[in-house]
Amino acid sequence: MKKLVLFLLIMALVLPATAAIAQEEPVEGGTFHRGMVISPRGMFNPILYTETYDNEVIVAVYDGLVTINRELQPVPQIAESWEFSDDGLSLTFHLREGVKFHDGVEVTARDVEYTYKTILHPHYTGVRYGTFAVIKGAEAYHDGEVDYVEGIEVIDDYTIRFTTERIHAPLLAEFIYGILPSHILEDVPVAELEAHEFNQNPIGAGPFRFVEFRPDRYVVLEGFDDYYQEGPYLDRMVYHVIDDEARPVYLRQGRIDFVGISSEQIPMVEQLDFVDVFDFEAMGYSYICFNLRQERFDDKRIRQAVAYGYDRQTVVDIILDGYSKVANAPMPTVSWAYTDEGINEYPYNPDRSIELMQEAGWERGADGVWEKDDMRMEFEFIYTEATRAQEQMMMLFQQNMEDIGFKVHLRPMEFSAAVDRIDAREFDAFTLGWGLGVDPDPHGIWHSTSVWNDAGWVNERSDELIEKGRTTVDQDERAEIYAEWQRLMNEELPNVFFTYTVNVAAMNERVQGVDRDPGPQGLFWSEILNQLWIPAERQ
Amino acid sequence: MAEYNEEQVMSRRNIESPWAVGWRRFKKNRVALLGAIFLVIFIFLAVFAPFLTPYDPTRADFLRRNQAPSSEHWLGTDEMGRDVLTRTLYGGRISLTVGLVAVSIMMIIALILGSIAGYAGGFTDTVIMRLADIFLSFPFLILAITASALLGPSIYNVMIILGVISWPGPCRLLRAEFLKLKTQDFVQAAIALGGGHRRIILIHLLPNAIPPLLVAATLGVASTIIGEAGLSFLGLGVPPPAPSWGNMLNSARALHIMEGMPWMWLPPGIAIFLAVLSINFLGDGLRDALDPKQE
Amino acid sequence: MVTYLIRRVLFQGVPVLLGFTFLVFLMINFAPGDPVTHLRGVPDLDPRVIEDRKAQLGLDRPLIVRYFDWLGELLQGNLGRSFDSARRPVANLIQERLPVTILLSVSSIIIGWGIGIPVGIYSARRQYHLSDYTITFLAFVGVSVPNFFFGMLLLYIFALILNVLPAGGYFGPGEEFTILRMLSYLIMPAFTLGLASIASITRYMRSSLLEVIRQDYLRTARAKGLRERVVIYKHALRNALIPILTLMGFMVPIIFSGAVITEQVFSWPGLGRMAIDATHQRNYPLMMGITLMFGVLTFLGNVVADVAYAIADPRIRYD
Repeated sequence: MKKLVLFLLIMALVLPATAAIAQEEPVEGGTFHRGMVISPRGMFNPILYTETYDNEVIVAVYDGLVTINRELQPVPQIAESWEFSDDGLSLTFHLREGVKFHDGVEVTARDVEYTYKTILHPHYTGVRYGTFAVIKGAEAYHDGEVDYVEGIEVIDDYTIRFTTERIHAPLLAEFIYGILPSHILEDVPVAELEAHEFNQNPIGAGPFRFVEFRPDRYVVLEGFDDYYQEGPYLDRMVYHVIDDEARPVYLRQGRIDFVGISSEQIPMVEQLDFVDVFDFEAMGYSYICFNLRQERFDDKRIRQAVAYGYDRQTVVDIILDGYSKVANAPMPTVSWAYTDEGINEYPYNPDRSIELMQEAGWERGADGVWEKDDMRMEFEFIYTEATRAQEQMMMLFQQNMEDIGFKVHLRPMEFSAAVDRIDAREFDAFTLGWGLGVDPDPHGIWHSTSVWNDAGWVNERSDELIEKGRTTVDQDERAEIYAEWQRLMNEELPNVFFTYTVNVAAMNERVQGVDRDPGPQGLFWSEILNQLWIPAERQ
Repeated sequence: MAEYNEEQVMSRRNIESPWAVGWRRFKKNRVALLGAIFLVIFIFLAVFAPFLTPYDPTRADFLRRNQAPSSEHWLGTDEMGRDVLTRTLYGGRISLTVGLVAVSIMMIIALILGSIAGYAGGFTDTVIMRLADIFLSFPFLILAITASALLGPSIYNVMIILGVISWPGPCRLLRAEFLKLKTQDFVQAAIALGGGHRRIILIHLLPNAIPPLLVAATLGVASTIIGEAGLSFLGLGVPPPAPSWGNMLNSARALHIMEGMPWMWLPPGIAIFLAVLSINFLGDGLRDALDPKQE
Repeated sequence: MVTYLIRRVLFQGVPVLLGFTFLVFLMINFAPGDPVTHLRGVPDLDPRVIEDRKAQLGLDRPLIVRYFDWLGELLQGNLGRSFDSARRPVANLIQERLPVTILLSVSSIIIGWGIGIPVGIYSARRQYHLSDYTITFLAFVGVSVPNFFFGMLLLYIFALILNVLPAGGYFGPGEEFTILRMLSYLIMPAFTLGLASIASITRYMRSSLLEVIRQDYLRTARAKGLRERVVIYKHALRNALIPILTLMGFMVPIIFSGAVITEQVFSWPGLGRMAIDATHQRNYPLMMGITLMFGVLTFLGNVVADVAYAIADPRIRYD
């Protein structure tokens, strides 16, 4: 918690502080070398990509109507301003004039229309239709009944209006997708867009122009001179694909300036005096999911016993080198909906676990494992082979559980294979993590009707709160609804929450214009890429 | 065939059995003997690992992570605070077991298919040999990667994969032996006398084909140990926390560990190397002893 | 010769390739998981999207139909499109990585043969000398070191301690191509992959030459008073090389297997890394493409070995 307080304090101080740091005038030139541990696929299309590594390039090449700032609020990008109608159903965007694509053609409302209408098209192959299905007439268009979308109106070259069927609180924050050049793509049949070579030679209106992509090796971008905002100052931005295990060495050798690092690499990187280490909490959390369809897990005291019995603080302090936080409810601390009021922290207390098990009517068998009727606390535990830190956490979990009379059989699996088992509901328990969107609406994971509700969690009050939260517009009111929901989740523990996702990154100090205290989006959210620069003497 | 006349019995007494000849030759091959001794030591260390070290090979102790070698931990500790020497000893158990079991699987398949192909000939032979071609002429690792995705990572699956993938070599060998033996008089005679197929295979053909198979099996143990290590190194083999030499190397693959904590990766690497080297020496010695024509 | 080659391709290559691809196809399709599971990270995703996606990829069709679809496309020279989000043609993905994998494999073969043959000859000529024993011993060492461990040792010494060679990868962006720089990237992986070949070719060359030397016609040649050097290089060598050539065919698949691991150790941007990735992603068309590519290359390696064999040994006639 101390870390959290510190974090919030920093958040409050950030704006004046950055102004003070950036006294030096930015200069042009230089190449910024970024590391990536997995190669982009080459789907550099904002409405079709699904993988993070493609997105890292996309945010530099494209700008959207709005983008999300470090406080997770929507701020202008290509749209200069916007307003909601009084009934809250229409959202009108006013575009900046003179914004240019990298081929020199101006961005107009037609391009915005093309981008979002394509997402709603019957032949659209991507995954974002659901996000915008709430737009009026979207369904009719998507089902091929009509060839227009009632809720998308181009008013003039620089004005476009979106109308929704019903009030949808998260709407504005969804218009972040990069605007596509309709003059290049409008004649391409939507079904074939996915296989079009444009996706490997993207043209957007972002601060960097795409130059070259060599799969498994690198992506080269170049600063776009006609960018409509400040900068970009960098000549080039290069993404190098490097082995995850090689990151500290590459940083030391100066071959890359920036890369996300894993917890076991922190001590080594901290020794480099010209490299800064950053940590930032991302929108996500990891959890241990029990299959509540099995009677033995369908008692909150069992889950509470696990929460008390697993030394999560040791995981954070030692395995994750202090760069994380124990989670006790499914809402990241960086979300505006987060609360710690009335939240039980379940500190490590194996004695309490044993009490809880006894209260629940379990008795220890001959080998020390809990038994009740014909049930036994011996189960298979699936985890996906990811990082070594993860393997260490699992080892500790197994040992901790053994101490409180739970016998755990660890079962490492490939992600695809694990998901197969989970989707078929053929599991006892597993651990995974969620990466969340900016809006706190938990409907997709936690509503009793949601397909991603893997635990099989059904609770009327929870459903009520979730539904209320997504139809309320006022942010403060929503925050209160979600606070109550978090307390409910914290008490019931449908999952045993594990840690909040904290990312750690390292950067060569020569790179300037970076917020040294990054928010949940990391160091390089779309808003600041154009502001990066490197002092002339270190280029 | 069960009766011998006096002369035959006499001459049998004076001729050393091929095994005795082999043993005599083998004893003279110092390198092979050295290999055998090393191997016995390795097996001893693996079998008696629990008595040789006070530590648990899998239980993590986070307060003792990444320690350099000391009097307490002769080869240091790994990232989870486990004693590297202990894990190397227990890793030998797994690596050697995988080698032996995989080779047994390989030999069972090879014995069955090789005998059938070599004895039956004709269409059956063609089909089996074409199947062997398929297995032989493709990069085994691609098959192994796919198979381990299919079966999921587990020590038993590693044994099965390695065993199933490597059968064509000894299978061909056995078939060739059978073809050669089939033309020999005593086999021809047995066939002419109307001996049952199974009897001819089991009594007349197989025992005579054993020496080259033994050599192939010994060398097979060496290559499956390397195969296990390779699969585990790619994260497709023996899953953690159980130690195998391959997965110990895999978890020490990070450049900063290679650079700063060589005690984590040198011991399992050297262990694989020494084990494989001694098996190769042994196998080579066996070949010289039992089957001097082959090289 | 030509008819032999045609027959070889038609009656041996094609059935073996068909069998192999079918085997791999069955295995990857029975493996748990499917290529759309990565979409699961998106919490508010409509599950209908996943079903649609499966239909787009043709995953809702029966297995056998899918295999023959793949085969049909293949006959038209089409390897299909990768199942990942970028849907790029499999042929392009392979084309981008094949050259570096070939570079690595061919260099290691050159190293293996270029070093193995002369060392083997030397060793045979010095039979029972200390140098022969040393070479024989080293050859044993060479076949006994797992190549990834050898690669790690090289990395440790040359990239980390001495820092004279790059710790993996291949040409960064904007790096100018020079032979020297290429070698600096190539030398460690090529030796890692070539080590086993050097060792086994040395051993085979040595024993093959020794066997030839013992034969009668060489005794005759010596008896005629020819100098030992002439005997060895003019008469023995050619005959001793013939069995070595058949080794080439056997070694091609081993080299490719080794390449997969070597690429992993040195972050070499070749086919091997992509193969592992494709397996984890259950990217069926890509896996099939890579498998086929390895299969064809191996087969070609075998054919080349046969041809070389025929050229080297005038007694062999294929018809």
